Amino acid sequence: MTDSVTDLFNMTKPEKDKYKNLVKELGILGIEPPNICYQCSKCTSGCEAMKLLELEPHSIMASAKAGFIDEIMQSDLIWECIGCYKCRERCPQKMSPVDLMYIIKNWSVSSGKQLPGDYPKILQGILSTGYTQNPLDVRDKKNNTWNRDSLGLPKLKRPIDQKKFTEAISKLATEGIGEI
Amino acid sequence: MKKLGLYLGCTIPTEQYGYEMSIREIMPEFDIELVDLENASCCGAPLKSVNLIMQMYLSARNIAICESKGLDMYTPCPQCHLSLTETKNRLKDSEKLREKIVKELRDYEGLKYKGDLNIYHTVDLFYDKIGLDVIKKKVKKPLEWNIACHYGCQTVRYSDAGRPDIAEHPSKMEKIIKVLGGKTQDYSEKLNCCGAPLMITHKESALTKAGEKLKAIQDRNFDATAIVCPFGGRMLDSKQEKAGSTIGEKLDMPVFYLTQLIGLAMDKEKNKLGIDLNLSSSKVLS
Amino acid sequence: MNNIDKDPKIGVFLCHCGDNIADTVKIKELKKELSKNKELVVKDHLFMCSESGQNLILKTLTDENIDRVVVASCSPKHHWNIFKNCIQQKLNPYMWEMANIREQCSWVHSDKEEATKKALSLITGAINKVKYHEPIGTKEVHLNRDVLVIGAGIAGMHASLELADKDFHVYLVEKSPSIGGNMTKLGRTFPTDDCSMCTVSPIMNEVNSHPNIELMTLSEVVDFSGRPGEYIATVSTTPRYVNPDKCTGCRLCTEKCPVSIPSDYELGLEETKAIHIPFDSCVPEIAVIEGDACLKIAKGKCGICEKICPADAIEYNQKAKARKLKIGAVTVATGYQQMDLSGTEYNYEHPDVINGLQLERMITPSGPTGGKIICPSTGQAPKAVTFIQCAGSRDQRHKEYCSNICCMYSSKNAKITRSKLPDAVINMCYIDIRAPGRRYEEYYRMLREADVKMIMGRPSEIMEDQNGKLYFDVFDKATDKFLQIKPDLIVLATALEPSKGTKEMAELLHLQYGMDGFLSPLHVKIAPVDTTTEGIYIVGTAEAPKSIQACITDAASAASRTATLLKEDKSIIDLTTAEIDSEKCTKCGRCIEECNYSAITDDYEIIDIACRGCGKCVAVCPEGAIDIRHLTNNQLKAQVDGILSVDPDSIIVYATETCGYTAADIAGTSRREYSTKVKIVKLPCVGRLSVDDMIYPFEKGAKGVMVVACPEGLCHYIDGDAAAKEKVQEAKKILDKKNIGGKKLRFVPIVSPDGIKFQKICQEEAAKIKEVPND
Repeated sequence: MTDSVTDLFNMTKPEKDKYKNLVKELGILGIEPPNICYQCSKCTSGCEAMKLLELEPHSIMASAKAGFIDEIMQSDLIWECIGCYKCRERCPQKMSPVDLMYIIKNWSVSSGKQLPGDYPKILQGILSTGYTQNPLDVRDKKNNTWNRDSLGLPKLKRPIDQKKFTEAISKLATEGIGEI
Repeated sequence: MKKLGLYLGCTIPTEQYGYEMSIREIMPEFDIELVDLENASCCGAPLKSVNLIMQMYLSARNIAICESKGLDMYTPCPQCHLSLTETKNRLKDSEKLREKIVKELRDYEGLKYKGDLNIYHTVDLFYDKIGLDVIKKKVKKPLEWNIACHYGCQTVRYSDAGRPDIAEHPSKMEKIIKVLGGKTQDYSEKLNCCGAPLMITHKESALTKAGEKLKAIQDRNFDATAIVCPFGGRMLDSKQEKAGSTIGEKLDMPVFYLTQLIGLAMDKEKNKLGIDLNLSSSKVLS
Repeated sequence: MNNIDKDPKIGVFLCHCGDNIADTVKIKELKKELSKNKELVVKDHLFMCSESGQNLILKTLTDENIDRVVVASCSPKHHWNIFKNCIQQKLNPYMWEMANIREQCSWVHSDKEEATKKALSLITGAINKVKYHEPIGTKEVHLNRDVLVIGAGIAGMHASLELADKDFHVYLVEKSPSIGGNMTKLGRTFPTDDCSMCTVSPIMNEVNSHPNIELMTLSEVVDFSGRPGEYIATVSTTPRYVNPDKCTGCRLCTEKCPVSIPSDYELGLEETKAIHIPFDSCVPEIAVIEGDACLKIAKGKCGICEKICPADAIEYNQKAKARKLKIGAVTVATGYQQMDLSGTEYNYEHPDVINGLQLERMITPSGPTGGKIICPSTGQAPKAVTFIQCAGSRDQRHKEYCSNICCMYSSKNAKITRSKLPDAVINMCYIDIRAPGRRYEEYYRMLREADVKMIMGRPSEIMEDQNGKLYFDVFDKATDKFLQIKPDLIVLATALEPSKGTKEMAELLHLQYGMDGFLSPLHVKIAPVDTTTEGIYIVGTAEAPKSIQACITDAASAASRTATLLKEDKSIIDLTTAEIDSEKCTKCGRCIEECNYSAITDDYEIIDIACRGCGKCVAVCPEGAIDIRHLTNNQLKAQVDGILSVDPDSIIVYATETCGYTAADIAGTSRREYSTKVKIVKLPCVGRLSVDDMIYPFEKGAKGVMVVACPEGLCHYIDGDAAAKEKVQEAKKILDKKNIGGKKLRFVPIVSPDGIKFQKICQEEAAKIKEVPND
């Protein structure tokens, strides 16, 4: 991977440093680098997101291998990954497209990408209450409404020192694996 | 009486109350005392895409909390189970990661992390720890229905982390169903995803997946479906009607938590098991 | 007993090996440094193993009155014999030593200063050692010229015929009731598309009628002992329960037998009876009874076959037999099987998902379907067939390796399927197509000409709908399309693995095997049929998945090697064996107890023929009275002294020749770098090391010691590794007491191909030295 390669469609070059960091972070999570992938496309064949949304994990792996990481960071496709882990489970070379995508999604968030969909709401919920949502009022089949109290369930246990908790989570939300 | 730390995660105690109720109802019968964990929080699984360090911190803190009580952990949610187990493995294998997380837990919240405890989920708790013989003895009203088992992605994958059941042809749920008196068989779409995580960003696709899964089960003439995941509950039960309208099919598949089925077989009262909270039809019960 | 040469003149020959060594190790500098020592005559050459290099050695030996030699070059495992043959023209063939400055130096280090220093230290070790060398003579031993071939597949049969034609008496031992192996199950063979049975049947008949081949079917080797040239194999034969001289092969018994059993031969596609002829055109064409299934033999009932047999050939009372065979050499040809993919995502449990061999049974006209390709679930011809390649192969979760022949045989089968089912849709899901042999690429073109749709991608899992109909999704990289395929029949190119019992056979014969279970040759490129045990050869798919052609080549090669070894009924052996100094010997008996080969008599005399030269006896003698001529106590210590005198900052690695040293060489050929602190000392077996030998380097300043042994169960001298392991524990305690630290001594078993592990342990030990500053 050197300056000698150019992608003529986008006029971009492989990003050596980003690739090195990717390999480092995958290594810390106990996963081997993407250059081992031999492009059999088994991950894409079984990808639960592929069936509806055209996410091609093998293609992401190939782009990452070749060092074209910026374009993966900017793509919306990686946010379609469900995290079903079929790719990691069945890969004959023990690659993990799902974890590679988590790392790249982390990078894109920390470089300013707006969190899509319900992520802001979920993050806010955890930061301020410790959980993704507050206990909901639910309806049953007969259309009666219930909550934890009326069902006789004990009160939900939350972080005791919410302030310290929020502080910790907010700070860690900006830290990368590569920095430790 | 064995004591286990009960870690419910987010979705069960805020929405899927039926799962929690049935667990609290049946566990004492199996000589298990569930200890609610003070100071608990989300395990971080929904935030993997946002920041992995944050997610691992969240899982690690809940492990530390349970360990401080000297207890093993029971978590009925497979997403939490994977996040916790994976974090535990990663912290064991990477010195760097472990040092970082241990330090942060200590500095911010005064929590001490060791990572030595066992973490159970409903499937391995019942099959491996409690055992089929013990379950069988408690059955008073055999179920007699043809039940499809839906394990859920995180219950069986990824094998390297150590999961409650194996990834290809898992069979622990089926074996439990059989001792409860029910009939069951393997079906090809068993390992298909219910689509729950897609609800965050692609709601229609998520409901399509749920609908297709239910349709496949329905087409195979099962009487009911057993689940062990609150997200499965959300998609296949709470949102069954929506899923049906998304794929343009009439879906009428009774969905129960495995713990509810165990309770029913033990002839426990339906309202103690939260059966009415299941929005899917309970026609099988009549 | 072993004295130093007080006035040595040592020829030191430094090889550049082109730039393989010279690029990293500064040969000229070494020459200059060594030349300062007046005991040495130092020469260098670009390729010491070449004819001109050898001439240089010979000339130097003649001109300079040299009495011993050190060659610093590549690994002794490479060219030991070339140099030995050269040097022995002038000197006793043991008056020399080699220093490995390529595989274990220039190829694994990049710092030139450090590498050169290490080379100097290794050469100095060799020089010091060779000063203690004494001429080792020879002795004549008897060789048994009968041979054993284990396994009667194509490789075993061809080896037997070649050996028989060379007038050797061949015992051909085969586990199953008929010879022929997997090749008899095939329909046609690539790249010629000729009928497999037509090719192999004449060979089977030739084997059966050759006067020099003694065929033993239903037989297995259950015990093995001896030495090259005089091995003893105990063969156990299970009863056939049918008299081979009377049975006419009429098959009336099979027709009337009431017990149906699954047929191993038909791979589940058909059943057979408890009494049956193994297959059409089998050799010998004699019925066999499956004892456990037979009602008469297992339960004392029935007995129909005996009543109706027109030749009166049934003998229920036959017993198992054991027989000891005395042979000079063995060829192992135990073959392959296809791995079982049950319980995986391939849905092999479904009746219409079959593997390559099962399809072959369908294609064969004499098979269970009469040559028709059918779906086992319906018996109907499929309208859509999919071939899925690399099922289990090239897969870190199952078999890491490529199974070599699947691309070719699946191409063949796809072409045949096209000719039998002209209108069927035929797909092949692949990752790569491997067609490297003669006429193979042209064959692949014929596959494309047969209008087989190639899909560049593989499915994640094979599913079935509620009616049991197969389907799967696959992403085709060629068209960028996500396809759903609904075939009637799926053929998996399932990975080949060594046949059942190969590992046990290897352990019985003390053969090395790889992590993949296949038997390891002595050297993958230049000694592909030899093994680490002289006189035992491995051929065919027992060694690795390969084509029929390669099996034939192997077999002929092994026959040639056998003929070289056993060209006469006697051989001259080197006295690289043990020797007792009767003046020092106190007759304590520890050596006799320790020796696995009963090579020391109760009168404390050595039986040279039996002695394997492992040195385990030396390691336990409290008086230093017994020594092995090719690695005496003085020589070993002198080598360590020599190494440490140049570089005390060293980790001495005692490595066994077969495994540890080879693993280090493999780390070298793969260029896996590690610390220059590591200095390797070659031993025939780590059992040679006494507790004192393990502590000695520390007393001379070494910073660490590793004892790298063959893996448990594979010690070439049976239990040298275990003996060394015990002594390591003892030595550790002593090192702790001496405040040196037992942690600095380490015992590591390693398989010979594991260059990766060798690199890892060297790096770990080197790191330890950094952590603890010199005390």
